[in-house]
Amino acid sequence: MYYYWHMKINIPRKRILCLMLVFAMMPFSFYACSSQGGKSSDSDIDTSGFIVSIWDEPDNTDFQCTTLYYNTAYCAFDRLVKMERRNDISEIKPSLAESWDVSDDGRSYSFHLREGVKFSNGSPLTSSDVQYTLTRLLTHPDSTNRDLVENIIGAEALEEGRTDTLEGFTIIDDLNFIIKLEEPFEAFLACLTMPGASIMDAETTEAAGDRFGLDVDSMIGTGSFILRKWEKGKGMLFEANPDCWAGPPECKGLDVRFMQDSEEIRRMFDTGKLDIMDLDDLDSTAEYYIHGDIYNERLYEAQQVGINYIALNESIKPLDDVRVRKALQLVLDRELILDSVYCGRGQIENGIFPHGLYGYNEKLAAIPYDTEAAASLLREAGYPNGFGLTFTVRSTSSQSEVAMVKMIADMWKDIGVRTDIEVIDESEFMSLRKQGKIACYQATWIADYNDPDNFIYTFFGNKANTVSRSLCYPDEDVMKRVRKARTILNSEDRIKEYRKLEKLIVQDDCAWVPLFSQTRYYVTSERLNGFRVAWTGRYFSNYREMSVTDAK
Amino acid sequence: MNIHSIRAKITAITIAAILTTVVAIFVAGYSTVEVENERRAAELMNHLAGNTAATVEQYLDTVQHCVEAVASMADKSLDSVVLIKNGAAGRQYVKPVNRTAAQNEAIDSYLREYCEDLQKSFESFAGRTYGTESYFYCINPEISKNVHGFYYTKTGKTGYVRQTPLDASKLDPSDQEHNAWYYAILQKGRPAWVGPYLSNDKNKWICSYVIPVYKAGMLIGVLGLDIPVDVIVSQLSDVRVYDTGYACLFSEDGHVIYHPEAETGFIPGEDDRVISEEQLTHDSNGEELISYNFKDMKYQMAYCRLSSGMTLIVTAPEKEIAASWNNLFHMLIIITVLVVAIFAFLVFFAMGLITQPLKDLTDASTRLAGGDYEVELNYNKNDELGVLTRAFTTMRDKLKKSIDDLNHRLFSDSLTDLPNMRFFFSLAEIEKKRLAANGREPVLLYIDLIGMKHYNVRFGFEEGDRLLCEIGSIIETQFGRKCMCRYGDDHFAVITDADGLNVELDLLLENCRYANNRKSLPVSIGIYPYSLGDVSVSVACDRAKYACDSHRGVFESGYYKFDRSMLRQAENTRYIISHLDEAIRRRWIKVYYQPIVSAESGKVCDEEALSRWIDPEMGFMSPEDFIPILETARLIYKLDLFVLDRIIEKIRDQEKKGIPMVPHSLNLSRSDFESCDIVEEIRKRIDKAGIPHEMLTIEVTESMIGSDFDFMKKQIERFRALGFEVWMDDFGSGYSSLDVLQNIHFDLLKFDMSFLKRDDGGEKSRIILRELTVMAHELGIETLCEGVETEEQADFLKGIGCSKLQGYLYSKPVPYDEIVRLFRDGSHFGYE
Repeated sequence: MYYYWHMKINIPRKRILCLMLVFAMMPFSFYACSSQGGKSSDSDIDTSGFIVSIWDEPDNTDFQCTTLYYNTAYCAFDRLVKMERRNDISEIKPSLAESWDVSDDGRSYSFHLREGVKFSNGSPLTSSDVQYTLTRLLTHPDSTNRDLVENIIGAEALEEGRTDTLEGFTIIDDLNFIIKLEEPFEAFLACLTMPGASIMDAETTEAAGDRFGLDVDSMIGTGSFILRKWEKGKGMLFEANPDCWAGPPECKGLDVRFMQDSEEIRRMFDTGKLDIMDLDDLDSTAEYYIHGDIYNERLYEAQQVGINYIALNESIKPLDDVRVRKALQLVLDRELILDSVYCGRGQIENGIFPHGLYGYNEKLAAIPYDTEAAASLLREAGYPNGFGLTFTVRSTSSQSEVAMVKMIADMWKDIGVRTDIEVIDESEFMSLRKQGKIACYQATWIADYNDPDNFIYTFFGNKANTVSRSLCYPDEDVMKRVRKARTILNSEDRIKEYRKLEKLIVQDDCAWVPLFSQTRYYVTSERLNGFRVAWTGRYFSNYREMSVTDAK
Repeated sequence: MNIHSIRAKITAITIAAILTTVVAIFVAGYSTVEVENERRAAELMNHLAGNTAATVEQYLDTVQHCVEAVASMADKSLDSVVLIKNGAAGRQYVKPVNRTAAQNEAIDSYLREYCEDLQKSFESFAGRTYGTESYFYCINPEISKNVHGFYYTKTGKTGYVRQTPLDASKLDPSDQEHNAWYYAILQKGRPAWVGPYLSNDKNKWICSYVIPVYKAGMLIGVLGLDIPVDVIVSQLSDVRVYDTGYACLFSEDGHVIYHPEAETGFIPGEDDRVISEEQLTHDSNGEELISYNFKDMKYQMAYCRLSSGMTLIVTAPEKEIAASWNNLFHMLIIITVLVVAIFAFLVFFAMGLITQPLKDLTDASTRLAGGDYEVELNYNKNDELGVLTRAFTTMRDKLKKSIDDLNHRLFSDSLTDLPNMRFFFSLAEIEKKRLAANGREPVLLYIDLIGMKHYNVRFGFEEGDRLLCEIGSIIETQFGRKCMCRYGDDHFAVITDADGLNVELDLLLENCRYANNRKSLPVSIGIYPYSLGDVSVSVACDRAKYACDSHRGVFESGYYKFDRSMLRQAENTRYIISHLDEAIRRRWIKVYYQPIVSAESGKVCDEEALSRWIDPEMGFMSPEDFIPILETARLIYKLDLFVLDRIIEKIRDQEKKGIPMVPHSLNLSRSDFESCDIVEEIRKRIDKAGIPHEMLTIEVTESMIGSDFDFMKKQIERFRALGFEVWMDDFGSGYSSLDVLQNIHFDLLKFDMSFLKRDDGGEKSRIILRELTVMAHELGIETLCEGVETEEQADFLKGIGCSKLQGYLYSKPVPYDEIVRLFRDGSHFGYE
């Protein structure tokens, strides 16, 4: 022992000190080590400052091939022009196109693109991107929005594959191009405000091919947001586009959830985890947000520019008989339905064009509730004991819609119509409807652009349109008039024609049963600012104005 | 450096290291444990709050589910068409009073049936819900003023008993306390918990879960279930947080539902608030606890917001929360102190073991430094200290040997190995004191071997050394080693007792005679008795030597005592030497001039400068008194140059005064030549004064030339070459050698008249004088005789051809003033 003590002296003093220091430092270094590794570096997107809202999940976000899901187009893309409505007056405003000139004959549109606009991948917006977009819209086999640009010269030839280029589209230079129409079309600009006419980046969209609308990376637009993540069945994440030509949006991004359970949605909202709640997504609990004073300041009421209607398939007996269809119209107490199901929150509609739409005809005669007349009409038609009818309901329908269908069926029963309510899967529904095979269904059409054309042409513009809505409206002459009306240069004349057609189709031909247009309600979270409902009664196009004051 | 300091330093460093480590661990531990403790406390409290809240919530959920289920039924089972058609809802709504009787009847009967069905369902749901106190459905009076719904209360074991349904139209909206269940719900427009409030009939606190039922946009009524607060309390009162902490529950509007220290229903005022409302705005406190003060105590709390809007708080005193940490803290301090103490002891002890040899070594060095060469070191381990110790021992031995050797060399004579002079001084001092102390008279002996030089020449140095050793040995034997020394060369010194000295000295001389096999030398001994003055040993030696030397030239053994005259002489010598400078400065020394007369003309042809010391203390001193002393002390040059300066002064003064001049002769001593370059010195001064060289004559004595003939020959020739005449003074008084005259040319030979006085009549002397004069004449050398006192003598000298005469017959030496006076008087006999 003694010896060893002596041996220790051999260690130079300095080294002893060093050793001591090392020992002294040990707890520190140990501590330093142990304190590391708390946070794992997660490459997930930081969603603080994101607006949380609920959407229906699309199968595909390719806005050229859908008529249902335009939210992604609204958020991540822009159109050449946009529709704005202030004080009930709708106006076409510049968007990607800074300005445009319309020739006197109304057939030639010269567009001047905004300078410096870039897609979210950094490539600049040029005339050829517009050309590509329109060409794709016309040539894509699944395109559902061809009618927006169908009257451009050469559209048909392109559609039918007779040529590769759109004749009516002339590129002047990178920022200027001319579109020539076959015939003048007043709603052409309004059509271009449609999400279906959103401008794509030629290069990436072409490269994406069929994956466009499915792959997050393919969705390259000029919009306020960039789609970053799409988790099937759960939701989407959009990040604010800091380089957006219109300036970055107010919020940091969008946290979109795909949810259906009203109870879950309500709980989420009540716990402050949802920023915008569409009361349409709730059942009777929606009343809790309308009554009382808790949500006074966060409750938004909006007239939806859209129409609730019952489609009657004229290709299916006995709906081919106008008397039957008329009877089905007359026997419905639509006020009772509106009061009972929607608490009276809406407007009874009697035609095609709902309240709020450009060209709405308030003088259109009301369709009366007349059970007697209905019964006699049915007898006349040879159905004194009524008939059996399948009423098809989409599985995604709301409780209110289901309740409404039940009430309708009850009312029809009064004249002996035996309604079989059949609930089918959404996709099956869409497929059957497209083939014109659904006899009767209830749906709502909400305006995409503020023009009667958006309604009448969609349903009664041509055979394809009317079949794809399972209306199977047979009167080609009327439909020709619908198409012809598009070209009427004088607005008043055009509206007059539309009103005539509306009366003819709905009240004379009873091609559908107009029900009502709904008042919509939204509640927002306490942290959400800048919420504004667009002229359509929806808010998806206004995300860029909203923001959240994050407590974090 | 103190050995303790190394030990203390190492100990201190070790302690410092331990302390640093402990402090580091402590700090790290402190932060870790404190953070950990805080985290765990928060976790625990949050967990407890969460758990308790979950328990309460779970229960409240069962109540809620029950009411919600019934509400759902109330919604679904109600046919809005009936209401709308009868004006009770929809856009065609009319108040009951404005409806037709049929309408009212239709509605009432429908509602009665509706309520009856619903009540049945409600009863079954309520029966399955624990704690149900009562349940009710209160129909909106705007729907019907006759049907009010139902109200059932649990009574005893019989189950729910029907009570009069509450007519909402009769409720007082201002009585919020009791009617909150209706008005608060209307205000909220949505399901909510109400209460706690005191039931109307019973003195019981209850909470209600109430749901408004809407149909076709119209409030149909409110549906609710009451539970007693006790049921909730029972789930909270058992909760214990640490020692004295507890859980409490507040309603959404801040009423106390349960608090161990407050009544149910109590609304805490501003003063009762311990934390701000902002701190409670979230769903929970998050990961950290909220601290607050209450009654001078620190508390920490966790809270949890229930979905019912209630707030559950779990609180505990901070003291208790931190208790475990504090214990750990105290333990750590105790452990730290113990560890440091133990290590301090161990290290100090260990360092003691390690540094002991070092300490020994240091002590040894200190003693060695103090001259103690006897220090012993016995550390012999094979480590650095062992090596160091051995090296030290070796060094000590070598040092000791060297110092012994040096001492020996320093204090002893290398030839005889006897004490040397230096050592003797200290030995003699001791012995002197010893003798004096014993009442004896000490004497100092200076022993000199006579003719040692010749002995060496004759027998060789080896033999000489042997003789010296033997003589030394004899002296040592006789007087003891501590009383004698070899003083130097062939001198020895002894200190001894005056008593019986003669006997001792006789014995010594006798012994010395037989030394070295009689091949010995006579011994001369000087004795200095201390009775003559207690002087230092060196002075005593000098005096003894003086006595010894006073008989120089006696080649026979003998001893001579230093006496008072010798003392006087010695003192005189000392006086002269020490006062020379003063005497010159103060002109106690004066220069007299004795004229030299030409035998032919009878006029003064030269003047000899002679010095006189007229001392204020010693009186008149003749040159014989002080010149030999100054010569021995080699200070004569000062005097001679002083005389020269006076001569120069005189000549220049004479020049000035117009007194005729003759050459002046200056006496030089042998030591003048040794002290400086006297030739050059004289030349410089004479030239500086601008005096012709023939005005100065140099007188040297025959004896001066003796020892270094060539040197003196050269100097004399230098003088002569410069134009100075050189005279030989006192020719014939010493061992005059004709050899000198043959080799050195003098300008003049000077005899003393005393030469004539040696024999009566002086015939021989006359012959010699005559012949010398003739010889000089023939050699071309002038002759001068001094000490001429009579005319007879003068005639003789003139007769034999002596050219210059000097003496009292003509004039005694006189000061310059006298010469000037004589000249002025005209009594001067004139210059040649």
